[in-house]
Amino acid sequence: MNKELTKTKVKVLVTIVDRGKGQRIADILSAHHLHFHYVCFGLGTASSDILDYLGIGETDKDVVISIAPECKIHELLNDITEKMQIRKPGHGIAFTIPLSGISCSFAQMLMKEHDSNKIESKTESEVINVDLEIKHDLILTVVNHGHCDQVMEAARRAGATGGTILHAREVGSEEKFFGISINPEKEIVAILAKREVKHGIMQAISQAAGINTPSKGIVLSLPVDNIIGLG
Amino acid sequence: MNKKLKEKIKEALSSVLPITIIVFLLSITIAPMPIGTLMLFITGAVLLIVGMGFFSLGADTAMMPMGEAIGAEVVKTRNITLAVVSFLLMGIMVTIAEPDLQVLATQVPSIPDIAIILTVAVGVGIFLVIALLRVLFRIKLSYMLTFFYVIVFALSVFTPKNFIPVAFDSGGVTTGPITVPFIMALGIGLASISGDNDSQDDSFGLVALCSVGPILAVMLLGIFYNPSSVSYTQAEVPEIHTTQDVAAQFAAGFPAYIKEVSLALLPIAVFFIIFQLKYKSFRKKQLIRVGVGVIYTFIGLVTFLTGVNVGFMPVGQFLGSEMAGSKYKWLLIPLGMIIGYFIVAAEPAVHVLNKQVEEISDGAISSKVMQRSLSIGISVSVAIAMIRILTGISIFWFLIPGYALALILSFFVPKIFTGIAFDSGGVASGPMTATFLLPFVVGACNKLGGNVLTDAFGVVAMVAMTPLITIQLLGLIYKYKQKINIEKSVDIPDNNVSDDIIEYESYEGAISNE
Repeated sequence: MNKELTKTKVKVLVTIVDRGKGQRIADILSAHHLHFHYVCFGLGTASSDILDYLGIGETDKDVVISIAPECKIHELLNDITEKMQIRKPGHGIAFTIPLSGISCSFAQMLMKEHDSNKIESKTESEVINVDLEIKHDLILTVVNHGHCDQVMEAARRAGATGGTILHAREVGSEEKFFGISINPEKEIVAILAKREVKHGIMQAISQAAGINTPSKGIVLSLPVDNIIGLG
Repeated sequence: MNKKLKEKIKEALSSVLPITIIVFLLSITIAPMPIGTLMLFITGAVLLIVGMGFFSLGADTAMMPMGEAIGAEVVKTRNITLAVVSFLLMGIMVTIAEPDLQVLATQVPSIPDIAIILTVAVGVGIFLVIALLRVLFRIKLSYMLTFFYVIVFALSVFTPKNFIPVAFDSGGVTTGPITVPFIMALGIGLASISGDNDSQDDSFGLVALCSVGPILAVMLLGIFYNPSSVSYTQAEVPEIHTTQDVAAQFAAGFPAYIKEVSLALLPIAVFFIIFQLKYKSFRKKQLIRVGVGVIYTFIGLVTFLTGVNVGFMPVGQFLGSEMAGSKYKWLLIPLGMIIGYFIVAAEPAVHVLNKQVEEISDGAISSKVMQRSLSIGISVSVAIAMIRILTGISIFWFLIPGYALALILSFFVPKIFTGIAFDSGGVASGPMTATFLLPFVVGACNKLGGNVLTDAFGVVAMVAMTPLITIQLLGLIYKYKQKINIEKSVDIPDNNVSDDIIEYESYEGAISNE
């Protein structure tokens, strides 16, 4: 049983689209018999300072995080590309992150409806040629609340095109104030970048908003193996 | 075109156009309107659309961030005295500056204006502190609300009869388009830094408690002064002959509202500047954004208030009296319901509430659903107001069962819905209600020869009451559906599942890192 499951890897598929379109992504995924998707709200960063000052720079986003078997990824990406016109700039972005492990029961549930032996070779080869040659990374920066501007500024100077902001709270270090416990607010800035510029961007963020600055930022990156919609 | 700009324009159009079309249709069918009044109305509607767009942009970029920052900063200091004093002061200052309160004060001539304004302001201040302490000491909102509303109804026994609708109206009226987003943001900021499981639930409920303050304050004044009269100055329908007259009307309106809005924005700006100087929670870039946002809010509110006061007020009164004078008086009820259904969308603070609810609940309670629940609520409340005019039934027949139902519901629905529901009562009764719905009802009441004070007033109280019920009913549905969903989603394959972890070792080789 285990052997059969390890043959097909499972990946995380992240899709970032305009607010309200997350439901459509979920529908597409469901049509492919994938039922594990989670939606959270994000904020797309401004493309220029002027727009930002005018308050019309940031756009609300839906971030859809889903788990899908590898054999399904290309088919899924193609379908999303087609239905959401994601290849056009500004229509969203989708990428996958490899997993290093998964619980057996979950994998079993996921594979229940997918026959891993039946891989559509036609569509697959097409996507691989376009996407797998350029390697990308997902740079995650966790900073104090309100400091995402510094991160984006530095990242943009080093060649990043845009990012998505997620709100979060630090846990584990809370202090009590009467009945409520206080958790510092954090912002997570997610930036997708090509591997060539990744190092420079991370370096720039680290200098501008690193742990030694008031932003108290930590920077890390995850490998991304499929991507559509960047740039 | 810029996405955000497009979204805001769409939002403004979709909120003002429906009510404009309805009024226009009425004017060409059962309530023939002088062309001058119609011109005023249409110009007003254009100003409303522009105003709504700017206001909503301003609320996003300035009012909410300012409120949230202050709310969060106050808790972070972990200094209870500072927190209490600053909340008390903020409540008082923000209320004194509220233009609607000044209108309310002039309606009760037997009590000095300054006495009313100060009492209500202190009332709001004290209740803002109570709301803060509630969050800190983790007292359930439903307990607090039940406790205070029981006091309110007990006091109402001793309050002069004429005074009761005004008292309940004041609860809705004093929480206007500037105070609501700000106070709401304070609550969200307060809740945002708390990591407890139910911190989300505490995001709402500040406005709810603040609405109780004015009701109690006005009732106490009523008992104390025992005033003989409450007066209502009717909106005059101006003589309009040419398009120049229309322009003159609006030109005369602008300076007054520029003054009003600047006065109302000032205390919030001052508080924010003090906080910023002390805690430096905003960086330069954000400060510029907030500054631009304040300008947006200012432009938006001035345009909106001028449009609604000059353009909508006379039309509301005209429509009311025209429809009551027609052969089919009963038409007032269904038509009132339709107007009510669409008018709440044009209330500026409603969008701020809906958006925040969607944001805080991470999309679980969508702004569309909120909008619909509010619309149904207001629709019912206008129907009740019309029934009261036609029959002269005392407001107590609706207030007591309504609040009793709302309070009972608060023990059964998810906590966050109670907070949202009681907040939305204050949110739904904004400038649109005061300048269109109230004159509409007063107009109808005058025509039918009813008592304006006991019959027509109280419509704001109804508008502030019905959302408490509809939003909480939404909460009940939500709770029920979630239960079904959870039962459905537990769908584990029946063949024996192992708890092993599968390791994908091979992936490391695929990545050539450094």
